[in-house]
Amino acid sequence: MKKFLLTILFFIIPLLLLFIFVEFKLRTINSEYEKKQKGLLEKSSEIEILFLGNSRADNGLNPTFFSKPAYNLAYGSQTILYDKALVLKYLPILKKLKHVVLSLDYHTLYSGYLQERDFFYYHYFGINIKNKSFIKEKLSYFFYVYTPKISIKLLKENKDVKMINGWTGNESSIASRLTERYGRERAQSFDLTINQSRKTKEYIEVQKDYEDLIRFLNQNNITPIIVTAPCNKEFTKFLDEKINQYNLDFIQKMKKKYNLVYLNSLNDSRFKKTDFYNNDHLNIIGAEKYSKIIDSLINAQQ
Amino acid sequence: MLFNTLNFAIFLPIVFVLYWFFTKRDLRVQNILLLVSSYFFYACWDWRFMFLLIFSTILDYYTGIKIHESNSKKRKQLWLWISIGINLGFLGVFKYYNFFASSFGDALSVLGIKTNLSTLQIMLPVGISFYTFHGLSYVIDLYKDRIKPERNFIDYSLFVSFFPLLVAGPIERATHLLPQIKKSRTFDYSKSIDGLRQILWGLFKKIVIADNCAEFANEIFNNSAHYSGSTLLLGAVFFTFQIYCDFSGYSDIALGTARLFGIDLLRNFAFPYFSRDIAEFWRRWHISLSSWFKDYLYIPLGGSKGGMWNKIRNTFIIFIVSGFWHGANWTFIVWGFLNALFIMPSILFNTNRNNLNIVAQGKYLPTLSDFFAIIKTFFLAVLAWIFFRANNLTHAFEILSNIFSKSIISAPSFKGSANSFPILILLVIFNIVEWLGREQQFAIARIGLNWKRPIRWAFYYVIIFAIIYFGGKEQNFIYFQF
Repeated sequence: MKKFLLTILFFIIPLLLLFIFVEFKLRTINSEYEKKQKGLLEKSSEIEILFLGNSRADNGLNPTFFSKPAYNLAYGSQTILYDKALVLKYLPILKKLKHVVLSLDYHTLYSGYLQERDFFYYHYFGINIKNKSFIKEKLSYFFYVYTPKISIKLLKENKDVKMINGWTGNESSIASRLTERYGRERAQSFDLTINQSRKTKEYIEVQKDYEDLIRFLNQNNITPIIVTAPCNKEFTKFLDEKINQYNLDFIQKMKKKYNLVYLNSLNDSRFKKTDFYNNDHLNIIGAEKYSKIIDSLINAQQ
Repeated sequence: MLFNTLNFAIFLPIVFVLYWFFTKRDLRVQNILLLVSSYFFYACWDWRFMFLLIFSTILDYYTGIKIHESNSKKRKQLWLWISIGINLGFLGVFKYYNFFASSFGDALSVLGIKTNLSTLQIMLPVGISFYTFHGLSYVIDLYKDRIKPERNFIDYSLFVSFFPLLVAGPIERATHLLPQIKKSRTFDYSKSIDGLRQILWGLFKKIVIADNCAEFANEIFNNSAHYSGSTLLLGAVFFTFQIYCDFSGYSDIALGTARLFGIDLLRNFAFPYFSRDIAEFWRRWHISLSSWFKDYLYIPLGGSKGGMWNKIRNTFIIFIVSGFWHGANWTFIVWGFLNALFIMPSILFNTNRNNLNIVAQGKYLPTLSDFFAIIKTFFLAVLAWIFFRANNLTHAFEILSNIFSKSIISAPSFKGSANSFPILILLVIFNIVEWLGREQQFAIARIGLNWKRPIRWAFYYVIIFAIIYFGGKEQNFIYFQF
């Protein structure tokens, strides 16, 4: 038995040392969440326009092209639940905030809680949506915060992302991703999310959160600018018209109740294939175009 | 609690340490500890079904004693049928009620009779098919006077509920497992190390091969209408490896775990995809179930005695029942029927015991004829697995008609196919390792034993890294639903 236990111990020691090393490295990795949070605190006293929402807002709204100080706090897959939590947390320090640009994309009204990303909002922004203890996540980033595959990728890359006022942007287009096939698959995956949300009735909570956020912004004399980002037609042609109409009806209902501005750029013909990184995200050229459009919309309001 | 989870990784060392360090090698205490651990292991799924497991245990324990004590054959038969009736009754209610109700309703509606037979939302208790068969083999063996009844209730309960085999087998025999439970067990270094190696290989099969193949197989089977014949065939091949690595991986973990406690379980798989005919395949696939059906159904039906017609009839019966054992769906029944059909040539020409040895024993490569025989058998198995995996018979026939169409001559392509290349490479490596280890109990049983320790350990580290890196989305074990 002693021999068995010693063999096991000696076998495990290298694995354990490697595990500790990897955990240490993962904890010190540059995170975009961290950069966004730090940038927000740095610029908090001057920000007048804040962008929230998912990756379409994250990639498509470049604060550099706005005439007033702006900051991009949107992030990939970020839902209204987290948008609302971020506003509630940081509004007290955003003294000059006048406008909040909010996403309303095809699937926005259907996604709320994000199990895989929840820890990041807790760790970097101090937001704990479900009052979780995150014991597993704190114990191992390798297994529970990321997956082993993603962890190894992160350790291999360990790239320092250049971020300007919360914006990074996508460099170029991926022609192979702008095809009808990918457009259909992408639309199908959103439809799956939407169906799931309808089944679980999650969308009711999401829409309540959306309205809460708009109301809260209005109460604080901040104008919500609701935007539907432009997408490539190889994607939009597969979107369910009923869902598009439902989204529009929702925003019309909000418009009647609250002071807000809405711009639907989903099928805006000013955007060409070369403006897109993939079927539903703008690249830096498209982001410049889109940012200028939103900026002029905000200026027109004043 | 699944074998491929952190919970089990915590549970197993705790039980192991308690078992070897805190029981003072007292057999009674060891067995009680294993029994309590087994019930805890089972209750982690759903504690409500514990009553069923305990009831089934008490029933067979009691009827077993009664069978032995009965003086007349009639009384023995009565107790035997009470046990069989109640055991199969539970199995029927939990597993087959909805199937019979809806099939009966369908049959009546064909005759123009409308019925309102309601189906029930019944949850299938995990492992019910396995522990029911455990109990049945025990009472039948008692009835046939092959064994004496076990009077120690703890020992008998452990025979039924020993956690490594509780939910998905192997289906043990009282003649094999009970003597081990009753015998004092001492720690054996090489047996335990061997057990750990088998667990490692089982985890590799399950997490690396089965779970990754499952992602592609699910994509292709769930969207079969969009895919070409070649893609559907590839999907069926993915499923073929998924089900093998899923189930044999589970069995490896079960056998390895049992070895850590000094217990040897029955072997369940012996490299079935290297079989040269379907008869050999069935001697190597789910061995504990095949031999169960042989001993408790095929032989009582007359086996191969009574001429060719009886042999054919009995073969069809055991394969169809075996299909039905897997689940209440016509797809399983057709799967069983197909296998019976595939085995027929060897029954008719009396060649079913031609390939009793290990293919290319002592050689690196098979002969050309063996190689083609392996390929032929493999594709027959693939064909049958299509029915096993399909949602229903229509789905299976749609897939088959697409496979046997012109679109078979096209490059396979499916959502995520770009990511399938590393898995295909892993499949090739996996099959090479399996081939090299085919003369052993499990593929890596002897691989590296003569290597120097650093090299041997490096080999194990590579397997561990592969398990961590290539770990697919965690999937349940397929056989848990049976």
